[in-house]
Amino acid sequence: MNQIATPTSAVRAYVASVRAELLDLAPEDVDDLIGGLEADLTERAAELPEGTDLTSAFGAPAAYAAELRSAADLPPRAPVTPGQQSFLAAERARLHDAEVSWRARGDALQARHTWLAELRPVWWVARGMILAIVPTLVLRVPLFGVGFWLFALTGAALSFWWSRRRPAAATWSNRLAILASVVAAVLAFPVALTFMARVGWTDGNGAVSAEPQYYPGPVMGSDGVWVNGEMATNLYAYDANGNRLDRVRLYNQYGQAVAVPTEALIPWSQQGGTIATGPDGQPLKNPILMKPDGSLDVNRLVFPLRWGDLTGWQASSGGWEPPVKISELPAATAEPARPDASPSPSTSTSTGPQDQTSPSPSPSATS
Amino acid sequence: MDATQLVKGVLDLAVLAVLAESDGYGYDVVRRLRTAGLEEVGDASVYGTLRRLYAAGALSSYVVPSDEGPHRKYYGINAQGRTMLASQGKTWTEFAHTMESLLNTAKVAS
Repeated sequence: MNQIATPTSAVRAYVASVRAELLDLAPEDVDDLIGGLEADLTERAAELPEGTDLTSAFGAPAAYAAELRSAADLPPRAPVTPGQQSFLAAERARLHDAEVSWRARGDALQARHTWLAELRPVWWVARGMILAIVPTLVLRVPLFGVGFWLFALTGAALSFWWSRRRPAAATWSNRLAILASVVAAVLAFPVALTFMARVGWTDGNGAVSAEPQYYPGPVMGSDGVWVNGEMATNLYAYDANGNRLDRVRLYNQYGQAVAVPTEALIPWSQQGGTIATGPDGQPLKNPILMKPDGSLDVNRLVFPLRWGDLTGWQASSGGWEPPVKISELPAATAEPARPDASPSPSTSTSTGPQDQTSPSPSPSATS
Repeated sequence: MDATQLVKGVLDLAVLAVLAESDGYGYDVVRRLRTAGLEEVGDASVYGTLRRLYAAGALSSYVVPSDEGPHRKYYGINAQGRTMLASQGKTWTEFAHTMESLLNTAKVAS
């Protein structure tokens, strides 16, 4: 008895049209008259020969509404001109029409692709997880941290439970679910991009990306090299045999020089007469020198970067101490080493700093 | 004579009589009325009547949610409705007797 077929788009459209004819009444009167009508007409329409037009079976929606009013002892609808109709009622009718039209399209799509209905639970879960971004941002919880994932799991469970209840159409509960879906759909793309950037899915086979516009951070929009979603503040080159390459200049596929942006170096420089501190919180022993005009006295195009009396091969700002030699590749023609493979230190002391003569590919150096 | 007009006059009584048997939702009431012989009854007239009787305090109403589709709105007769049914039923019976006698006098075959 409680299994009621899902109303067809034609039934929904018909009920919406009847409702539109009743909008001059008090909302509770309308709900009294319309409540349950969708279920009744769905059952009634199922008894009609397939393809029967509802208007020919039930009469015009306006006549149907007039009969409802008359039997319910409610006043007939006064002739309404657009000027007399209240703005609210007009907007309500328009919103309702839009909702009916939207639902009708959804029904038609589902009728053509029935597998879409099976994917709905997946979307309910995804919707809850995406919307977790809202409390994360409002409460300033670290993005994709433990707090975020707690929100995401809670959101996924709530979203699934909410839609599993299958709230009846045209109820506040149903409309809330639709609103949540729209907001989640809008947020899905930026959230996914941010997430991919954060976990380092920058490209298919490497961890290096030169697309800083996708990464939030203090140097957004700058040039530079990004590794696993983090701006590189220095680069250390080794050849295939594992020997250090000193004073290296690097270029991309357009002949543009790779540089570490000034912004990435500022935290390690002197600022306003204050000595910057290193990752251990201690003042840097050898802060980057600044020219009298305030610019940094360091060549940002030659790696490893160096300034003052540093060699460039001292412990990096990330805490890594570049070894003198790293393990050789198995063969010269072997695949390139994985970018995330940790170079293994060697005790060899060969190969000190040496000048490299650049092929000079007419660089359009970015400075 | 148009039976539709006659039905309109006694629709309250017919609906109350149907619901006195058992609770029902809108289309269920329509179907039971038609099965009983009131084939001319209009869906919207019944739904409007249900709403009016409910507003008059003769019926109670409750919603039964569905697992799949929209919810159903059930109506049931209450004490006030039963009083109304008894009163209107008595009036109708007297009226029907009067009409029957009148027609018998006029020798109209029933």
